[in-house]
Amino acid sequence: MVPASRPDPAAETAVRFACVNCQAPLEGGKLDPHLCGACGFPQPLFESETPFTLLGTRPLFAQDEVALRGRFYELSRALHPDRFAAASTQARLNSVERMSRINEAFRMLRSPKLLREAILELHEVGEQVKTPGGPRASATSAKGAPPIELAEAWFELQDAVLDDPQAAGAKVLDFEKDLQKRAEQDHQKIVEQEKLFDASEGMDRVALLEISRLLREQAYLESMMRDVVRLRERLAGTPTGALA
Amino acid sequence: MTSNTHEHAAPGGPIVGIDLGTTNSLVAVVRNGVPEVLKSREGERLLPSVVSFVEGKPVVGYQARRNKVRDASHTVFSVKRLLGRGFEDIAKSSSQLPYEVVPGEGVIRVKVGEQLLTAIEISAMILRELKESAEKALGETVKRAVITVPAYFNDAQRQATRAAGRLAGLEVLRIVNEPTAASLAYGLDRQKQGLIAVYDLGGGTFDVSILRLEDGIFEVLATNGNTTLGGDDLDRIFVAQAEQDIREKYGSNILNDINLKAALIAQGESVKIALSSSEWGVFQVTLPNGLTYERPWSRGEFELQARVVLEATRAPCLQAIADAGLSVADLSDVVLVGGPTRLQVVQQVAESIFKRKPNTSVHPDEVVAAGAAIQADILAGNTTDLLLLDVIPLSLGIETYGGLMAPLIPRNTRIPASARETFTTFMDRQTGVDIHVLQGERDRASENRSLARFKLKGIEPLPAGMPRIEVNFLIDADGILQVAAKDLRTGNEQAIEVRPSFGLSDAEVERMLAAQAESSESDKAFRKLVDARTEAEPVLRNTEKHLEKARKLLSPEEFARVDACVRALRAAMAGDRPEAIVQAKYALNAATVRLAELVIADSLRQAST
Repeated sequence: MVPASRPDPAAETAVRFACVNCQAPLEGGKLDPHLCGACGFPQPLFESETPFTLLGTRPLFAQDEVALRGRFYELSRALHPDRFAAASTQARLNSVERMSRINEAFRMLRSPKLLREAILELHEVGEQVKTPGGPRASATSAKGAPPIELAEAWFELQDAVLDDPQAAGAKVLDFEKDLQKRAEQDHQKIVEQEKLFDASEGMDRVALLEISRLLREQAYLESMMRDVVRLRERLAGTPTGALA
Repeated sequence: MTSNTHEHAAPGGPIVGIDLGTTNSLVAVVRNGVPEVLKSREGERLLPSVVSFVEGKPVVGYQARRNKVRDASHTVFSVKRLLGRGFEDIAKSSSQLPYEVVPGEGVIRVKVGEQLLTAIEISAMILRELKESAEKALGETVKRAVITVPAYFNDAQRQATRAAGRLAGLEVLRIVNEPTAASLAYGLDRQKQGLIAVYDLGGGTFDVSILRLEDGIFEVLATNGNTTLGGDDLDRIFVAQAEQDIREKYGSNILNDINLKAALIAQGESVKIALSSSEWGVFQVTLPNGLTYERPWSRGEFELQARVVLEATRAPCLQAIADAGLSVADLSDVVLVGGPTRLQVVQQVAESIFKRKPNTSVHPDEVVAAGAAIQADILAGNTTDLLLLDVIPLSLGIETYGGLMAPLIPRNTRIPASARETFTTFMDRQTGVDIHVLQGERDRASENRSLARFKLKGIEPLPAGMPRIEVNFLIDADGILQVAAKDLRTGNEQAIEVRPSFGLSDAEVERMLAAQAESSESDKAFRKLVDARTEAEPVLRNTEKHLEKARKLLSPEEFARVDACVRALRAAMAGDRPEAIVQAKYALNAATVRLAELVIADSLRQAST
């Protein structure tokens, strides 16, 4: 089964297939392309299906949760493996595969974080840098270029702590507040860029690049925040890692 | 609920729903769209999950339960607590059981009389009894079932339940979570919609599930629980106190007596039940030294201690609500399930957790079996307007370098589910990787449950971090996990279906099935024998009662015939051939027709004079 044309992943595609079981064309049906309208056979997953096409929604940041759930329930009713308990092995297998992907898609599209990742992946933006960080290869790199001014402030702070640990306490707190403020600002910026992207009907690639950059920066801020908290606790005499 | 005409007409016969409980078990089936509990062969709706060995043969149910104290060394109960567990898992709780638990290869075994049996084998005996009860009630062979388990059962415990089903001659079409099954029965009438919590406190397990009910869809949002907390633990309050008192007075040796242990547990249960309807109860046992231990309990005193035990249900409830992304106020109903939820103190604790009066309208003992029957009917294709969307209770992942667990599928993920992730090597020129599949929520691999281990070989010898190994997880609607690992460079692939570490291997189940084919023949024969004896006994007793009268009423020849028949039946009953007993019984019946007439006539005559 090969789609008739390689679809543009970002666009709503109208790909036509034929049923693997009865060869009837899969088109125009309410459950197309999940289930053959003619013979009710669950179709295997096609390469081109994304979380968005699976749930019949547009790849934008604003998602209507009620509509998503309605579609998810509708698909579950028709495709769940319980409906194919007595069907052929192939039908059961297709149902399990399709339903597991639909479950995954439903989870992704309702989580802002996972939705962001899905849209970026769809547009191949902010490539998931696979680093050999131990046997787990898929950790996305958080080691993007740090904001210069923050990195400098961080080094100064550490020097200050070495010079006079007593006096540095207040500085550490201030720095922590700065980081928090910065993280909140970044979050606001991400939301703004998401709105721009949605307003452009998914055409604004620059917005995606900016979102990707902001996400890397956020990851950097988070790891710096952990270091600062550790430093503050050390100054306060709390043994580090005591809560681990 | 739709239900078409060819119900049960499906090849393979009816599919029953079974609630295999710690304390009691039930079997139910959907007939004409309505779930119905089928009576056991003892004529009861509940089958106590107790197995007693009478003359070496298993007897299940109330009859076995009576032997808990009378014949403690040949009677086992609460085996669900041992199902799918390793010896270390139960080392703590086994000391509370009056039977001996023996570590074995992979699986633990229970010592019953001279026999060593696994929890799977004992559970299979209970399931077989349910299967036969259902067959008697339905008048047809039952080969397929849906069996419920606590939602928080891990993979090994589920696999062990499945193996028990197979051993009992049942094809287990689905393992369903108990609180989810309960929700199916609760929401069957479609009147109830919205977000609900099911608080399920069984004999030995606690589960909580949060669900969304909408137009026939039962969507589990989150589940949590504790597989070692149950109503039994409330009985323990009395037992622990009694043990302490007895030890102080008579020393601890006396407590090693197995019959005393059983008596203490039985008393604990009955005092708990007494206190549910009255303000006072008395715990009373006769000690092996002939003395009596007696202690009065007030309901208030019990409830105070019970609250401490039941507090342990709070954290799982709050975690489940949080995992569902909800707050307590979002819930529109809290459904109580399980026998112990009849206790007021349990209802009060549930109320304090959920900040609302819990719903006690469902039948706490029967609702799970009813739900299992509904799921069975869904799988049979009869019920098409209801659908259960369930989740996995515990995260699944693999071990990575440094002994850490990398979760691939987080807990509360809807099933079926799949996940892929790419891993790499840690050492230069490494040509194989160990894939260690884990289940649990802890960061450290060693603190989670090990489900399986396999090796992916033939990796190209490259510098560390270069190879790309894709690990694929697929969980079907049954919660059965398949793991595949693939070297993306060479295309070399290795896949396994996850098998339990603490359950039984396929080979072991096969071996047991084979052994059982023989023993089930002898079991059946034994049952026939007991049945024949039971039926013959009143006939014999009745005749013996009138034997003196018969000597007067009958001719010598007639009397001699009756007397010979009585002797023949007595002899047959002492033997072990059921056919002989049945024949002798018929012969005696035939021989006493005239005697019966004469006896009646005689008594009428006496009455009229």
